[in-house]
Amino acid sequence: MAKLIKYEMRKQRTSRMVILIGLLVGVIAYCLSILTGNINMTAVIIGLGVCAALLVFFYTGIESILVLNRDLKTKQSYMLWMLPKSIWEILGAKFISALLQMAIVYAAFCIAVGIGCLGAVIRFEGVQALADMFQRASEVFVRGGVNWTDLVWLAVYIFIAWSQVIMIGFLAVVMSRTILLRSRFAGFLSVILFFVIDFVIAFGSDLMYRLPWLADFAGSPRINIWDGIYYLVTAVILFLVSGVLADKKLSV
Amino acid sequence: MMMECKGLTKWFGAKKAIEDLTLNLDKGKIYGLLGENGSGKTTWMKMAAGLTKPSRGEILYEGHPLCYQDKAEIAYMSTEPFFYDFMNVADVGTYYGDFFSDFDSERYTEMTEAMGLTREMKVRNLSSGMNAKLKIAATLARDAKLCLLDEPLNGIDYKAREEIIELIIRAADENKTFVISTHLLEEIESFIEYAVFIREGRLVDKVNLESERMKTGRSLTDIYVDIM
Amino acid sequence: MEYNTGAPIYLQVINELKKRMVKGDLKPGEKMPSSRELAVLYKVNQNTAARIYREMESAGYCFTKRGIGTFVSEEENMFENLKKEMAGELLSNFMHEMRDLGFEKKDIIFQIEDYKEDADHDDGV
Repeated sequence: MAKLIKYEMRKQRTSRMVILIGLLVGVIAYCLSILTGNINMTAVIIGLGVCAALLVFFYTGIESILVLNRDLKTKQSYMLWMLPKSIWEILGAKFISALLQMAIVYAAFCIAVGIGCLGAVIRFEGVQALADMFQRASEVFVRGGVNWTDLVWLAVYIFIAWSQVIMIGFLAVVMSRTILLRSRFAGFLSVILFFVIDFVIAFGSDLMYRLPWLADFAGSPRINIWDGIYYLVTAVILFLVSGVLADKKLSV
Repeated sequence: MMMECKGLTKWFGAKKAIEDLTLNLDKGKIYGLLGENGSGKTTWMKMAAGLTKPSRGEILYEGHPLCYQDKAEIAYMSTEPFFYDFMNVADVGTYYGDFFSDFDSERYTEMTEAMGLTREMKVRNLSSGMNAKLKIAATLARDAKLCLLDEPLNGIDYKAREEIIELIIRAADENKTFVISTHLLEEIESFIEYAVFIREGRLVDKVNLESERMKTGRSLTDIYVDIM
Repeated sequence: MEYNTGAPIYLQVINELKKRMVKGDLKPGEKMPSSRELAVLYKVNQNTAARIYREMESAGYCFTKRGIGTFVSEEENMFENLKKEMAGELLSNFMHEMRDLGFEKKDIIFQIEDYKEDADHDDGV
């Protein structure tokens, strides 16, 4: 499994390097702009940075689906399917690599944002202000101004929702390649299948809330435990279906 | 019996690539898989390698239904290049070494060097002939029990062909089974033991060449022309 | 080696090896290639190579020392016999074919004496 992950990470290396180098360039440009006091330039860089970040977050989120599609589209699929590895290890390695890739990219962005804030505060408010800021922040934490439980739950919730998206993607790609093999339309079909499966799952969620003892939870604005459970269960089912389908029917 | 294929059928959409094919492979033999382009040779081979799933029928390997663990003992080499673009010659060896316990990296290095491939050469920059050599080196550096080679002599110059045949003959001892598909009948005539003829996805005949030469004095080309 | 692909390969290799023994390329008692090497040398599979040695051994042309290898027979007179035997075979084939063309033995001898060896004429290109 670790070795499979190693090569999956290698497949995503180019995009990772492009993102990280882009980010580095952005940070350097930003630092230069505040050092020279060019506020307009700072604004432009922050604007661009936010747009780029949104794009990158989206792309990194679904990159593993694109990689699976590319694997199956070309003869490079033999590289995975000739190995004495079960389909669960192969798909599992892809999922874990997707997580790692996101963790690396998102961590880099967090660091960049941190550097950006730090730079701005030091440049415009002075070192004293920075110390004050830390003081205030730590007081907030200590007094419990931030609801940690909610934050953790939010993270778990996002993770589960994202996992489900990945699993929908895996299933859509595996189904489409099982039906159409190397046809040029297989990529297109997977996109359609992606939305169809997503729709079916949303429909299932609606059905779930028709259950009398769950009806109260429907439409509640707060994070809903039943949503989380539903997404988790469907993600696991999607993974199992993808695996069984790939194992029994998929011809590469 | 090393491998038994029982009533294999494979549909690709509405097209039948393999139809009711039953074929047994014995341990320690070299088989030539012969037939026109599109006759189903590649499809059969990919099914035997576990890459393609039969629509109907069953494949038994060493008596049990073929499963992913068996790929540790089965080596498959496709006609087309299949290594990742980002790899160089050394990476391919590392990859095989990472996943196949029967892979001998020293042998791989020896073979690649003998064929004029250096460690740093990028897979995506290799000519088709060089790529063919790289594929064969990686595949034969494994000590696989069943070795499935799809067109290993295609796109390779005469001298390298002889080298590859030598590698195959050297590797093919009494414990290993080789299946080689090719159009180059004269190249393989002297060393294959059985010729397996496939036409339109069906097994036409399986011929023991030495006994055929003994009985009827027909060469492989004669038999090919006669039955295909 | 060029094979006649209409005849059993193993017999052709045996014949070739016998020729090499008669010519003295393979000397009495000399170690012969391993069956794997023989297979590579003659582009046959290892099963055929093993069969070749089996057949040659049972005919007494060579013998195997366990774990060491196969050796050319040490009996000198066997080579003489082999030479005579192979010459006899060729001769009887030749006579047979010539008689089929309608030549008498006398004519044949006459023709042989008249025959000029021609360097370009050997393998009937």
